[in-house]
Amino acid sequence: MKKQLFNLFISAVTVTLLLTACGGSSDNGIPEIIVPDEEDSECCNAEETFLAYAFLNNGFVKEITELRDTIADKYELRAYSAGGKLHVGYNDLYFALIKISTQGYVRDFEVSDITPVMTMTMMGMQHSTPTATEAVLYDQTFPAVRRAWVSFLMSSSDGGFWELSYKASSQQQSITHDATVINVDALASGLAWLKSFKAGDTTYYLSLVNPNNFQTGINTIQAYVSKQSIDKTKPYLTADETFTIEITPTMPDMGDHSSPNNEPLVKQESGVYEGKLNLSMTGLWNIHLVVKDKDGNIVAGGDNDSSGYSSLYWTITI
Amino acid sequence: MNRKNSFIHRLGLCFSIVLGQSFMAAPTYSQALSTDSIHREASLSEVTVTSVVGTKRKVAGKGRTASIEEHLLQLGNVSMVRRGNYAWEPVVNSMATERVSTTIDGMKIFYACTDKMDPVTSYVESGNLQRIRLDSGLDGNPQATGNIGGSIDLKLRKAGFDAKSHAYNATMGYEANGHLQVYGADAAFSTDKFYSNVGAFYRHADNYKAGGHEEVNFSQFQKVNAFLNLGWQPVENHIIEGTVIFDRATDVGYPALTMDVSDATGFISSLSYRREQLHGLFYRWETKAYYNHITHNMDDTQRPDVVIHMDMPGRSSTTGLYSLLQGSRANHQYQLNYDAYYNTLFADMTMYVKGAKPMYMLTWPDVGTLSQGLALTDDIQLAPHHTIHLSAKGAWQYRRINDDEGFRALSIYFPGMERTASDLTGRVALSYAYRYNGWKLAVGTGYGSRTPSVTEAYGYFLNNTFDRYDYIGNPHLKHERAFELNGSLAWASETVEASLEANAFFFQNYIIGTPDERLSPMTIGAEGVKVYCNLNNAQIVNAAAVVNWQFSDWLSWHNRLTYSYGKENTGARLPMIAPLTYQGALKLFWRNFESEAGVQAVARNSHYGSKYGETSMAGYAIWHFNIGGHFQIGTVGTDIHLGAENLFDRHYSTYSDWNHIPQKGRNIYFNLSFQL
Repeated sequence: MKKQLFNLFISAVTVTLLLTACGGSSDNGIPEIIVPDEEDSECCNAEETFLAYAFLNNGFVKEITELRDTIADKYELRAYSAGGKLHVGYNDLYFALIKISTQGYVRDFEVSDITPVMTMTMMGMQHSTPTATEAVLYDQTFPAVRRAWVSFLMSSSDGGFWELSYKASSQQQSITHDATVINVDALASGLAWLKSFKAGDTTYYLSLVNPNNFQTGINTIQAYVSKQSIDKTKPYLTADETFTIEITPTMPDMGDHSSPNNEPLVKQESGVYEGKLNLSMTGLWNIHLVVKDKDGNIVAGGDNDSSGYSSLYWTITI
Repeated sequence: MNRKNSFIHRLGLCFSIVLGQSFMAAPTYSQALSTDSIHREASLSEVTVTSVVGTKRKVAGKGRTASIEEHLLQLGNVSMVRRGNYAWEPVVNSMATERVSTTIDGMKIFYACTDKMDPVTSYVESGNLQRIRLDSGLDGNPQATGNIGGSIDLKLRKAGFDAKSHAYNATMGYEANGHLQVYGADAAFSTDKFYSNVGAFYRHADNYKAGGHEEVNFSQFQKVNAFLNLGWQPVENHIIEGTVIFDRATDVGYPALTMDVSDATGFISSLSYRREQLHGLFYRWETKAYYNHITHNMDDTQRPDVVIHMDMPGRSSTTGLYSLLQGSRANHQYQLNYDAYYNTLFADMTMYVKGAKPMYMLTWPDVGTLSQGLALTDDIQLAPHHTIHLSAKGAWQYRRINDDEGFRALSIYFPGMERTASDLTGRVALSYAYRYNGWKLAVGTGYGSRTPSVTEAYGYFLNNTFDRYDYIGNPHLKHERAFELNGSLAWASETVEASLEANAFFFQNYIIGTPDERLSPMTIGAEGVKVYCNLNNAQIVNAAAVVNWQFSDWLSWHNRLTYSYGKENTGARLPMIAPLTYQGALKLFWRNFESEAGVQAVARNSHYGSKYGETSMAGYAIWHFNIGGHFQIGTVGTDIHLGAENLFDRHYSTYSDWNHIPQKGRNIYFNLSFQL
């Protein structure tokens, strides 16, 4: 019953969208939603299709066309990010596989070996950056979308360029997307979403997840801790070690006004670190970090700067 | 009313100031007797009230050119917190806005500035008012809620039916100190079916000078006010009345604060239906619907050395109604009142930093308050010399934080807090008076509670420039409760009037801000953060002694000595408690002339609230003098007054001058009014 109603709803949405398309500019970049009329075992059902469609066409994410590829001329792999752009620090990457013949979303596919590499032309050096190398299911309710992330150390510039390669497979067929140049924008000046620290001989990277989503109030704050690879051109994977990241947000423009009741980031099963960040107003915030190992020893951020807080901090604005 | 009675204020300590058209056109201050007062209020039409006070005129040389605050200061239990030369905050029985109810003709109105720059008394003008009624303590007027310290009702001046068919008034005043100018004009028209009065006022002042010619920067202001009252009686005893007041202050300086006000605008309106001469249990029924709206914009652009420029607007709007039944039967005089209102308070703050995104927060998170109350008063003449006064009110209040962002921000400080709150509060007051042969003994008691104000419950980083703390409201506050005892003993003869009076308030869960070391302030340079919390208990005591001699028909000597005391359970002194104060005046009335010379002497403020950032204030004495007269030239009546305040140009601050800003130095004033 519920399903029927849902299908009815889908149909209504479809009709509306088609009508809109006919009435106005059909070339507005939003593809039509294709609702499968018969069961295609490869593709999502109507409900899943709708959810995937709604997610990928909500105006927030856009395709990064440089990363598009095809598998056996039958399937088209598309990669998406916020606004179709990439910037320094943490970026979500979304992947969807589309069956070219029906334009349906394919249910089962894999994206792996995601490898971003920066070539520094001046210095003749290459290095990678913290990244998730495999895309995983983004949302349980619609299998059509996979998510990965890349946290870029620096922006594309005259001094260097970023390339990204990956592998994709579906229905026992796989391809390798060769490294293509992608553009990575710099952050607005003053912002810092990716920080590093050294413990022993190892360099660790702290990637703050989606600080643009923060708002006034109590926020869930997430971060990844990655480790520089021995071969720097290989992706920097998340560190196996377990840390605790204590946070103190301050507003440098407000005499280092701070907020109470923040909770440190601790490692979750999925590998992401999660805590509570309280932001008492909008504006520019420094999130001062003290990183401790599992025994409680400070491994980074123990030194205080002139503000009286750790000199290791992310800077965000909300 | 004979003079014996008029001197002794009523049992429930109800004072009223009359701002009407007495023959001097100057306000006169009468302190009216309990049951008389209620009865008089019930039966007098607005224009005849002045005839009662004609026999008991006192001098207030500024007349209608005086501000509302100056009028209020004439009342015994009132003092003022001054943050500048404009919009002072009334303090009744040593309690400020949170514990005092202020209504305009029974209408609820709430100020819109998080820094209390605009007490609601600043949105009316002396010329709008007929009387100011003050009920002391928990015995409030029927529309008052949350009044522990007292309730002020500003009674609007209405022409009324069957008054003079047309009357015109023009007033102008000038004060040398600060070049204060006041201009006002109004007209009244009246028939048996219709009345109307309309008027406009303008005030302008530059910076004033404190004693010793020290200019107090940012003490200027400017204000315009216009009002219209209409009454229509289509059928006898069925009366429809309407009021509109528009009031706008611009370029108001606040020397005690770090910001000024670019504009503060109030719009006040009401429509009422009144039924007179009913038979049965009630003789009068009045129902009034009203709406008022205030917008308030702070401004720091005129100040030097502003670290961060900020905008801080506030809005308050209130829609409400009340329905009042008044009746008498046998030896009872009673009133039954239902009132309901919905108020929203919104204030935010945007701070601009060069090259960065502006910082934004809600200081009042758009709080909606719905309140309903049922009030009852009864005055009982037990026996010829014995009267009892009873008043009670129960109120239900529902509050909701309407703004998501504001709610989320407060949740940081109070995780898991509720977005809504509903409360029941009430008050009851009972007093007894015995009058015999010139003596009057009155004792009274009351018990009541109040809900926290929006600032106390939901205020967000409101900087208090007095103690230099940022204040955060506390949604978990308990109701503040108070038990009141009051008493007075008075005696009057043909030549002497003397009285002793005192009231004491015993608080439970007294609401006040206390420092929370965990929290970090937002304001640069602030000492820290205070969060409102409940003190277990606190006490406030106020006492006054009055002796007046009527030496002859033309000369009298008036003396008043007041003392207040406030302490919390830790033994620390409460802030804003007046030191020992003496006020004395010699008054002359001769034919059409009147004159007054007086002094206010205040002892050193030795019981200051050091815990709350107060410091000791030196004592002082200031002298004043005025002379005036009334002249009738044909049909035109003229009043002229000339006076001087702070005659010896003393440089001083009172205990309630915010940040100890100095008071005005010597001030010569002159005013003139014509009535036709």
